[in-house]
Amino acid sequence: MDPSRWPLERLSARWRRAKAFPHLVLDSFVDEARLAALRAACAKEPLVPQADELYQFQASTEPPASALLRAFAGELGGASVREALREITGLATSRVSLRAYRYQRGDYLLPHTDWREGEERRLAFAFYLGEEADGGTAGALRGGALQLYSCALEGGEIAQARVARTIAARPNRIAIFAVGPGALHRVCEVQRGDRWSLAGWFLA
Amino acid sequence: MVPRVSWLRLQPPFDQPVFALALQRAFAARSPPLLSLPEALSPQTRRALRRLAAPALEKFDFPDRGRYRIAKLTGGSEMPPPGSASARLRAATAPFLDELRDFAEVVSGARLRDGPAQIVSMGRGDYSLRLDDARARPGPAFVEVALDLSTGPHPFAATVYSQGPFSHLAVAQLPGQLTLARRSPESSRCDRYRSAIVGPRAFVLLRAAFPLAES
Repeated sequence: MDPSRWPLERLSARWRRAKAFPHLVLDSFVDEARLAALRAACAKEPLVPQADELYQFQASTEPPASALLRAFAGELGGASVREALREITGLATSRVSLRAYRYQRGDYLLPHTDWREGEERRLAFAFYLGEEADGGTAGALRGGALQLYSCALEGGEIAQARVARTIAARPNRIAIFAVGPGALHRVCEVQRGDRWSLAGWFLA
Repeated sequence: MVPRVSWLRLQPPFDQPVFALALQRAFAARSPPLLSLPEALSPQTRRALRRLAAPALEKFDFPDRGRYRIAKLTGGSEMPPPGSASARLRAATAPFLDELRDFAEVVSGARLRDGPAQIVSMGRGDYSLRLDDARARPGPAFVEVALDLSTGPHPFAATVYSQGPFSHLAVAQLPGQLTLARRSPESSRCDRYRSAIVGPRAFVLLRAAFPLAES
């Protein structure tokens, strides 16, 4: 995670031109040793099953119990990353809120937006750890992709929507996207394996 | 008065007013008022209704609301062409909707008007969110009747009725089951996403909303 090496102008152009709504996908986000350490920390993190009309998965507390995961959240929400993201997206943020997630077979997050009137969420992110945090016993991950919808709004409500971009939950990849009333997205049902991620928001 | 189609009827004792009357107290005692009763419709009737509905089902896919197949039994901006599958379905179910409204009136103790009704089929990957319920509701207060036409049971909490943020009642998939729910502005309903864990068996419902006559 070294934002001083990010090609900010290129990423900014990519952000503005992105299909569906502004977003960014960065691969090889941290070095392999860090990724392995984060996977190991996630495997030990206490997770609680969560289910609602929109979702079914396991999640940690916010912030997570693990010092290593909290340090990652601190670094992601640190001045250098936030300043780089401000240059790319034009959005100023002050901190990061993050939880660890595990999606197992049959788990999902249905289409929704993270936007709530009066709330501080500016940018959403999901950092994918890969499927081996549990030692790989669940098999290779199938499903669990992030899908972004292109929406037509009428009177502030979604009148039409179609999938415009599918982002595979590839290990060591981070997806960052705008939060807004038309930023509809979902996590496809996991068909096999475990999908581990650290996800949350950059807040105003 | 339209004569009732002989094969499409609630089976005894659901077709007897004294039975509906006996349910009044149990219905009112629940908070929110909701009753689920087994064996309201015979397997033969369910099968016949599913067959009649199948060619009339149309895809509904609004990601932020829901994904399922639906055949409207009432309403809509245009009436279906005479002789079409949809027109045949509407003609066959119109008297049955009267019977369901009469039953709901007795159990709820409220005067009810005709309202929107449909047959909904939910398969693998389908769902209906509370936003869909909010957009489709006929008014602030109504009684909802849901008849399970599925081919087989499943313990999965298929439909969840909520009253405010903390009160939730789950209704499982049970063929022949009749669910009666008194709906208020604070109530909501969703049909849970049907993942691979739930399996391929479709959840088929006849769902009718009868607004309170005074609302």
